[in-house]
Amino acid sequence: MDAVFRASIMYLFLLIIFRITGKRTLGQSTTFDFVLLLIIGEATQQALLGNDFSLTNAVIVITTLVLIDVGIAFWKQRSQTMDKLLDGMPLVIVDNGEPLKERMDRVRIDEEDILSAARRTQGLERMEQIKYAVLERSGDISIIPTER
Amino acid sequence: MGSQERLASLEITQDLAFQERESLVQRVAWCGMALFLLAALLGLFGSGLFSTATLGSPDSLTLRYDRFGRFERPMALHIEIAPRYAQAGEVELHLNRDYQQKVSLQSISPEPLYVEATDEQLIYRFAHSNLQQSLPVVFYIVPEAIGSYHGHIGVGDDEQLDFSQFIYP
Repeated sequence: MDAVFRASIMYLFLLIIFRITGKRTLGQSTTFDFVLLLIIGEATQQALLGNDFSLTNAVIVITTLVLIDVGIAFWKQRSQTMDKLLDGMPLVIVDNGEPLKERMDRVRIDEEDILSAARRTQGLERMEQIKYAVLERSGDISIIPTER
Repeated sequence: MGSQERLASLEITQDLAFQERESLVQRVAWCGMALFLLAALLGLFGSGLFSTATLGSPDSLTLRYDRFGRFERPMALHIEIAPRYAQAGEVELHLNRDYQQKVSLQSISPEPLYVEATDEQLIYRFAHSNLQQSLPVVFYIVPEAIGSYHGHIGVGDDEQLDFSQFIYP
């Protein structure tokens, strides 16, 4: 019973904390983000297992996490509100080569981030070559180039 | 649902009102997280500036303990017994059983000569021959229950200290 509670509480806590820290927090996988994720994983593991390193405990914890995940995915599929609350919405941050500053500030993105995504994914050189840039629900930036 | 916007050539549905609310909630939550960390630094969740408390007086019995602890995390009760309580080279200390049923006693320093159990308390008898100095006793414990703890520690019949602790999950 204890293992189910531990796993459920940790799942909900992680879900909430990553949701409120914003899409971009660990959206870009820099080396440091990767190290940070490993540290968070290590701290989570200790809280999940406690002092019980038995096979039974591991099986209960994994089953709980997977089942909650399936349940939440099912819930998101059925409810648009839940889907929006848990995964957010995409946001256009460049419209016809014009960076939308207010929106960018709100989601903590600067022009450099957009130009970096444009270079990386489309080989673009300048802002005016971008028709739309969209901050996706995953935290990635999608670039749609202007038609030539 | 808020205002939704669909751009002509881009098949995307955005909800700017929702984004605005989300942004506000995030900022409030960051402040909440900062306050949470401040509370942790001050010792509200154990091992911080205000988490340690001291009771009693040096000429009788003193107890230093943690107001807040965490489940299965070792902690200690630091006790000092004034020399006037020594009788025939021994000092008697009692601690209520309710408290001890919630913790796992790891060790006691110094080791007691003997322990006697009654219905309500455990009585520890320590050797103490130096009548000029008080006797320091440390109980190293690990909390095994979550919630409030109420302890009563005493020497003799009249000197007793009551203390409370809260153990976080």
